[in-house]
Amino acid sequence: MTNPNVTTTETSTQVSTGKMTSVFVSALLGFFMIYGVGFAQPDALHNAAHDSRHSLVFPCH
Amino acid sequence: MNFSSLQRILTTAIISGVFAGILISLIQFVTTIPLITEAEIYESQPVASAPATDAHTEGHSHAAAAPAAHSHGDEDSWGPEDGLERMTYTVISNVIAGVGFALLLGAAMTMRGRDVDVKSGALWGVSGFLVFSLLPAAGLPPEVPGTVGAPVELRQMWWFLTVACSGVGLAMIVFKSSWIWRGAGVVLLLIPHVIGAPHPEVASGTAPASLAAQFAMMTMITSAIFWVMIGSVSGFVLEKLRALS
Repeated sequence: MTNPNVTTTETSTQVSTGKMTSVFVSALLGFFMIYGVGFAQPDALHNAAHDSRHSLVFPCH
Repeated sequence: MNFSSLQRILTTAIISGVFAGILISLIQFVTTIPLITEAEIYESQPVASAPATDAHTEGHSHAAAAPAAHSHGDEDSWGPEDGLERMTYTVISNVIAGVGFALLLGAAMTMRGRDVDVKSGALWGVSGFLVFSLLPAAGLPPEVPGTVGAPVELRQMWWFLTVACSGVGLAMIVFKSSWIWRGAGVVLLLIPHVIGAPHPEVASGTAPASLAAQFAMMTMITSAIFWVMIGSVSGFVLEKLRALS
């Protein structure tokens, strides 16, 4: 296990950049998944996810 | 073994989302979904009330053919057959929603940067419930099929606004120590409710009020269970991943 106290400025910058990229990528992916299940308008998607939309309290219809 | 933060979020979200999605489906099958099915029986019966008919069928493809009927499984657009097929699609939808919510929760946990375990994960889950379920439901209560609402696009916009304000507001209240920040968080939390959720001029619906009330209560209870499962399983997985690295 590496000691977090001995990281150089360069690596800690890389870590924080990597962290923010991960946060951004995963939030964006999560947003699209929620959008597809809860909000997308095409009838087929609405009908497939219908009971989920109502049960998870997404605005439906 | 060393995991990048993205690998950690993805692994955690997939495990907790699939687990919570499957389990909440089983719970919904005996709680919310029988109420939805019952409400659909009322919805498919012809209604005398004109506003209900007009507003509900807005945006539905078969408005002329069946004024008060619902749009899944009809001849105009595809929909799963009632029974096993419909249940399967509900499980798939819940799993996708579970992974999606878990990704957002994982992103928030990573941004916060503190180690999360089962207990603190459950608290993160409670926050998710407040932000994504309870606070939006304060303006737009859970709706059984057949409820007349304002245009769906307006309700969706208000929902997004409320989730964004509630998420940021709650983070400011919980994570900031200065009272100015906390006060600003409370203000942010209240803004969507001061603006007000979009509602139809005349509230109506085809389902009996008692059924709608029971549905509202059940959706809140099951959503709380869903979120606490997502949060605590995420915490559990994160703990295991920390032990591996």
